[in-house]
Amino acid sequence: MKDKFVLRVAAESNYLKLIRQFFARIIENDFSKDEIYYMEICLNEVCENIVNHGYNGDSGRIEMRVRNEKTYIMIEILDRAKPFNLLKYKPVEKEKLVEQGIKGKLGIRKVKTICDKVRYQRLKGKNKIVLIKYKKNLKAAALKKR
Amino acid sequence: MSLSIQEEKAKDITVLKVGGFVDTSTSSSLEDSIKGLHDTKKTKVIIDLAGVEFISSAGWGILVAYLRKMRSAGGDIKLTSMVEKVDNVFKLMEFDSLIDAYPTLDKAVKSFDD
Repeated sequence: MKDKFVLRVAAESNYLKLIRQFFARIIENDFSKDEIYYMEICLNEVCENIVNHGYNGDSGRIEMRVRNEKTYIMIEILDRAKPFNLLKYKPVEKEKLVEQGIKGKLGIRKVKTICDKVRYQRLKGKNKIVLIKYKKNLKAAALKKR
Repeated sequence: MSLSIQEEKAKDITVLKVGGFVDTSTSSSLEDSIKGLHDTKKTKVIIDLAGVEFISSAGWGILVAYLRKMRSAGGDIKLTSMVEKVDNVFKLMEFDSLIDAYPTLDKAVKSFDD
């Protein structure tokens, strides 16, 4: 393992910027600015979902664990909010967003589009979402080894 | 800076010049501004995003939700001057097929005459 980082914050929207900045700093030497930005978007979407829909106003915490490996970055996001498996959540088709005036349900589309892998587990009362993004030009090599 | 919103007029069009970042901690300000325009029947709206560095789904969701309301009332919401990384996400999520976006404010204003 190359590096491992952990951040624990209250599940409040005011901490989202801190979460994004903390993450961006960790990977600043391993990804392009665009890739970092896209991953910040994914991370933000998952955490916004936990704050707004998971805890839904109740107090709680978000724990983010980042493993910066040689060929990929893995982000684990844990919370004790109600169970929510984003992999089973069907994003609304974009044409219906306008038709139905839906202002939510966009974030999951982003996460699934941008990340190379997304996993979900419910363990001992915790939601655990895992996001994996391969480093440029190293994805193929990593896949070959598996 | 978290979020700043400045309202300007261009003919019968309202321009909201937005700056900072739009996530769930700031999106209510944007929603209040757009809702205020809708409630006062100012339904031709351009959102100038030149000063915006980050938009989460909370922000995109508000724009998409009010798009329908403004169009139903005879107006529209159009975007302009997105910085490259915001524009990239806009296109990645294929929102460009839902909301009209223009590189400059002038082009966005003129588009209401088309």
